[in-house]
Amino acid sequence: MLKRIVSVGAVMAGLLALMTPAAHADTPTTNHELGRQYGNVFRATLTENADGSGNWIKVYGSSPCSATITDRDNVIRVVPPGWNDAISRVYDSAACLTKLYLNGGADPDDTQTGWIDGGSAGVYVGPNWDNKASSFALS
Amino acid sequence: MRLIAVAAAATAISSAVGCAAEDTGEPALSHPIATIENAAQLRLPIADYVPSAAEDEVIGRAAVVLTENCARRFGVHYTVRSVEQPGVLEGTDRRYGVVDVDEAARWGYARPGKEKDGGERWSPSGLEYEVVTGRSPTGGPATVRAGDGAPVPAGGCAGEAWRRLRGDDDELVPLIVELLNKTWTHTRADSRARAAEASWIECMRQAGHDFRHRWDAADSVGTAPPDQQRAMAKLDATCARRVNYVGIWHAVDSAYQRRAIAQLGDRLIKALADHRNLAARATEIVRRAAS
Repeated sequence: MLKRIVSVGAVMAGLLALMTPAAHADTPTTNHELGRQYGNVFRATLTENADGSGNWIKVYGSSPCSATITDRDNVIRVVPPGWNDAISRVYDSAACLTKLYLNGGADPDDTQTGWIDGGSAGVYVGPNWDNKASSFALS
Repeated sequence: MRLIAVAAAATAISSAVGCAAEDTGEPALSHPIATIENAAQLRLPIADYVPSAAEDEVIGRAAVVLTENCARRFGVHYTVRSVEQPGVLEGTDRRYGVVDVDEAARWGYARPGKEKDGGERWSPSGLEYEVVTGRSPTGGPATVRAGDGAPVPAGGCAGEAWRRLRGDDDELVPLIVELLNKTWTHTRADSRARAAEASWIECMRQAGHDFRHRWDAADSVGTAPPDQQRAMAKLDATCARRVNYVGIWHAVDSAYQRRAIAQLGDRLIKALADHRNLAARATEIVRRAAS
């Protein structure tokens, strides 16, 4: 949904683009910790750059991720401000896997990645998904 | 999309960690600027205010105790034990990109370590999942009732446990996160950091690559074969070392952090004291549960 809202403004952005250099993607200006209200079990980090540098979103929960991937343990239906189309690398922990969605809402019917196991080394999300996700889920 | 980013920047700068009007010019750097060759040399000034691993651990264990107590009201045995946690500064070893040339040559842009986290997944029954999380396994709201008819608390028993444990006065970690936000934004715009970036860009240009920012190097080989990724990471780190990119960015970042810490003053010290009180309460909860 977020991307659709943003795309309404894309017409204006397109006009502005005639006057300004093309942007690489949103540049996140803030780090975010999500899910802290439920616990301090660290589940995942998503970073703005493919080399892991820069800003990040960290996701927490009350437990390790649950065993069945049909249960989505964290559903981030709208990425924080500045993070639309900005995720490049994923690390995860506590047995969690990460899935990215093209649009806001983390809709199971939306265009999505498979379950990514970033592990502690982290993985680049790939050129098809670099700076493309508008929501994500952990399982 | 630019409008969103501008709004977020304004929010960040005017939020809890001081305000833009208090920042006057680029802070002086501590000299000599250290040459940084591995991530172990990176120590941010805010590290002095970060909760210890022992504090994090006992707080996590206390949350388990309180969650267990709550779940018991619903006739549920909570099967999670305390989980080892990284601190709030986890990941800041990559704040400025890859550091160690030898490590980059071996691991590319991946952090050394296990590729898969290999942690033990939680295997709750449907009832346990609902009581602990406040959501049914299919994502709907919990409908379970306790013996006295009480509903599952908001956020489940885990949510209740954290509210009881932390209350509203634990602002230490949010303060640290905001400080990291603010100082990173300033560092990226700082003339000394930009000059180091320009030197790195020139070094990479001489090697045949045209990048606008250091982080573009990893993007360029994101899906390339592993040997190409490692070669790029090694070249990237070699240029960074040659121009002391990491040392300069760390020095600049540290200068902004020292200023931000000074601006926060007693607020940061109080937040740290509150957090230590929280750790003491957690220790008492764990002690009582064990006795």
